[in-house]
Amino acid sequence: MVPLTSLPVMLSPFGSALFWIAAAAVVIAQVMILRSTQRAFRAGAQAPVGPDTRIEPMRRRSQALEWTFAIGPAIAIAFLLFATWQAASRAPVIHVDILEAPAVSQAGPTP
Amino acid sequence: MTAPAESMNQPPRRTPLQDFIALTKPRIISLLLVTTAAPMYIAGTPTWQVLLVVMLGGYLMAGGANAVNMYLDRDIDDVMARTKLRPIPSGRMHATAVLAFGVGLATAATWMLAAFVNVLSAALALAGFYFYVFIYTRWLKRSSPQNIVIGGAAGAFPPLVGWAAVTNRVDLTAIYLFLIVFYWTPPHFWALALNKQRDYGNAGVPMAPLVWGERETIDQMWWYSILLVALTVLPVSFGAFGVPYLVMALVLGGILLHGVWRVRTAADFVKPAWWVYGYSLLYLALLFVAMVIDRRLP
Repeated sequence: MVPLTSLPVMLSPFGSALFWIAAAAVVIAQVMILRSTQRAFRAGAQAPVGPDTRIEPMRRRSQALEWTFAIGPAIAIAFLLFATWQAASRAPVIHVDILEAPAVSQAGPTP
Repeated sequence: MTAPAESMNQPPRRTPLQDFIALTKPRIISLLLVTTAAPMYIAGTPTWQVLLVVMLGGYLMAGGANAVNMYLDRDIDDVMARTKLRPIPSGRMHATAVLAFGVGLATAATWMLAAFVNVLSAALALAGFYFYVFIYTRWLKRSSPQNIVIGGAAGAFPPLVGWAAVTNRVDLTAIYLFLIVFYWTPPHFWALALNKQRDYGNAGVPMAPLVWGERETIDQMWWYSILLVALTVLPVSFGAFGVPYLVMALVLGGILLHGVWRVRTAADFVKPAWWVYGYSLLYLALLFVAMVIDRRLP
């Protein structure tokens, strides 16, 4: 008997469409974050520090390190999307018959 | 009902046991435990013994990290309104005792997870401890406006611990759980930082609203929230979760985006930002519960 946890995965066209829509949103958001970070660095370097704070001005800090913090997650996201696309391409469609064993696997969602 | 006069002028009296519990920040840990337990039921069906050990080990590890954090931040806790009543700045506990307590909890947690669950879950939990103590608290918190962006990784280790406790490995779905918590952190903590700028400024903590300005921080909250919601639906594309989860993730994410949009468009962001701070806690918990429900549906 096939365990009920073997739920059917997304239908191929829907899974593919979902991937591309979500991936596009991720890429756009990541680009906008990088653009915003660039503006923020510029503003942070120019802005005067308020008298009631102990915050050091941005220009004293390593801009290169700050850029690493911004770009690092973006690179990780790129690898993640690639790995996700590969996994989505391999994901099998499993037809579950809870009375009869075994399950039948077919080619999964493909681009 | 009025508060006693004593409580208005002096720090609340606490027993040593209450102070030791306070050092672990139990309210914060409760969400970490949800993001640890849920992945265990997403990955499989753990026995209650394994669940108990992972929960206890997770609490001790996170509690240890929080205690060491209070030791390292004892100088700035004294100048921030929301932290000056903690055991060290209020003079109720000696700093060295707090450090020993924190290290002791982390050591006990490592041993417990390694001995009764598996080495991978112990190593991941310890990595989270080190990341929180050294990368976030010791280095980034006081040096970078992106402190909680990179530092958010510390809070993202619990899902990996829960997943590894059941499967003894880390796969793509586990990495998604890690990244969901990672990308949830900036909009959550910046919502708090927007309303606590004076506190952070007095303490010299360069939170984004103080260094970048409010507009740029809110802009980034918006884009991080979009990225987060997109990340939550991507696991559906490779079959990690099904349509029930997809619907729940979109509804929960839609509410979050609506809240952040209100922060972005309101003339005064104070109330919407507090709302986002509160809802984002609920959002993360419900999202992980939705994943479990999806996996458990017949």
